[in-house]
Amino acid sequence: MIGLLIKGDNYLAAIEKVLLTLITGSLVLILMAQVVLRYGFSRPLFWAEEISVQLLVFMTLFGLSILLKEQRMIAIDFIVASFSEKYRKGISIALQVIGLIVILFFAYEATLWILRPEVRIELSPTTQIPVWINYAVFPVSFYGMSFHLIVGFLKTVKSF
Amino acid sequence: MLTLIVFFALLFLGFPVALTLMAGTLVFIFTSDLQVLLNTVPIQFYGSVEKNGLLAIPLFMLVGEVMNRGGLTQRLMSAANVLVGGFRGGLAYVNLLTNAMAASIMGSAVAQISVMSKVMIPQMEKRGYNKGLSAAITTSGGLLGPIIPPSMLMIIYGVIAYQPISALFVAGILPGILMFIAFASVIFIVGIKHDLPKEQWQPFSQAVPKLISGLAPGLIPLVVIAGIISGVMTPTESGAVASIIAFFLGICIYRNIRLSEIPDILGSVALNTAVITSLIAAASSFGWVLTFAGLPDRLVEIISSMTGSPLVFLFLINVLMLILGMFLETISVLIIIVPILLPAVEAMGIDLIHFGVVVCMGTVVGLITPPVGPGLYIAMIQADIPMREIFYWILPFLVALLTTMVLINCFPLISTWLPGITGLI
Repeated sequence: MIGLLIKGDNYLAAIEKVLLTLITGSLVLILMAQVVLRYGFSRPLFWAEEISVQLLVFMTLFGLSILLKEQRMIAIDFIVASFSEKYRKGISIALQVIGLIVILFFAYEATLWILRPEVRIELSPTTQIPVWINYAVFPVSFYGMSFHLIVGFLKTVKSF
Repeated sequence: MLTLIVFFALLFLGFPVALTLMAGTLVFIFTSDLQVLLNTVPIQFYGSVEKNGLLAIPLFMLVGEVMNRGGLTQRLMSAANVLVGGFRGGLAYVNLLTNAMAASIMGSAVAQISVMSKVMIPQMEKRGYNKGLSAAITTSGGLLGPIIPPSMLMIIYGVIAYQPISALFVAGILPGILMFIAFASVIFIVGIKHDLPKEQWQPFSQAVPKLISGLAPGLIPLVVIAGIISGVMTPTESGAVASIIAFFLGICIYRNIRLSEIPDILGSVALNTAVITSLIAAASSFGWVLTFAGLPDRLVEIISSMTGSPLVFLFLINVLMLILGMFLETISVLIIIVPILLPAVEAMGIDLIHFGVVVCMGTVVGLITPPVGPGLYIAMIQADIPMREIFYWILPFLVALLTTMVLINCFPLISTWLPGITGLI
């Protein structure tokens, strides 16, 4: 069972990494094209700023998910590093549970947010895309993070 | 109070800083009678990254990544060697000048120290320089990264404090030059005291090609600074132009980057950006609830009762940043502290551009102060020396840096003069 979950977790991370690469590539290309078109041809892309900012938010959310899975987030670990391995593992399990609660709570609140009637009818200013489509990346990525944390927690417990 | 206890407990137990900030936000909401705020938490989190100014971060990260893989450091070093390599302690100056040039391209101290320490420390060791000194110069030189434009810290400060990033970039030029002069003076004194090796000047025929090849990446800061000062480009646009130049140099001129490497570069840029922007999102939610708790207002009252002098206030901020920087990661310090301090800064009548330079300098000091000091750790691992040895050698550089900070505190014109005459403020 846990083997299957780990496999699923790795697949999810692989999908997130591909998405991240595509998002970053698109962001860079749009911003470069915007400069060339604005200064070279006086024909700026009217939607470039709005789309770029949304891509930056997506990059943040999926990037955060990968950082959580790979445990590459910034943390102050010099105090814990001085504890014995047994205590470190105990603290790690407790922190993973707290992390899971926090992330699930944010995911839940974000879900409620995009389901609000006023959000469902709101359109973006320049592209007229329903904004809930952009906002939906928030809960989706946070549910992905929750899955990474659950698998990480099970792996730590198994090794305890 | 409970919020702050939970916050610091989680932080020092090694909980990721971004998650600690998110947890602190929830604890405050649940322990107060403001549970209506829960509805707004996702909007705060999402909205804090939905800002045009932050678009410059991935672009300048990309420039740094492309130029690194394109062999930038070696080329800059060759050019610096031509310019200052013939002095006593030539390689020490080469290290500092290469760092200053790289700072105008990369913008991140930690990234710069990790790249430069791999190149410079072994070279200096080979030429008979003390390993501790080599590591200390490399680490100090890396501190120029967040001050000389483009600077990630200035972008972050600009977004948090609602200040023009262009003005902040230009405001960092003179303080960056001052820091460079201060560090060069330390090398001069150490060179005489420890009889550092004297190198040979290169013959003209060899020097010119190295200079041309090494100074080509100089186009990048030139475009960034000229574009911003002339008002033609925003920092984001100048980042886009810098990326185009970096790709052109890396792929077409230097031919060090294969197209197949681009996905890897983009992935790395995305994760490095996410480290910063996720912190901004989490800190924005936390700062927002702290405002509801009235913390910034209480801080203004406390500071006002302690001093009415802006200068004393700035020194107090320096001390606070120094202490926090000893334990917390530098970007986190900036992101957490600035929104809380801004009302007090405005009440004191301190120029917010000047304050930006002061806090960014205060933040970089944290990179070289134990026990956290990530800059020290990177150089220490690369040089394979104990902390006490690198700390012994870095002390004079730390004194030079603190002296520069005092000067900048006392003379706000050092940071505001250039943005003023260029019409940016």
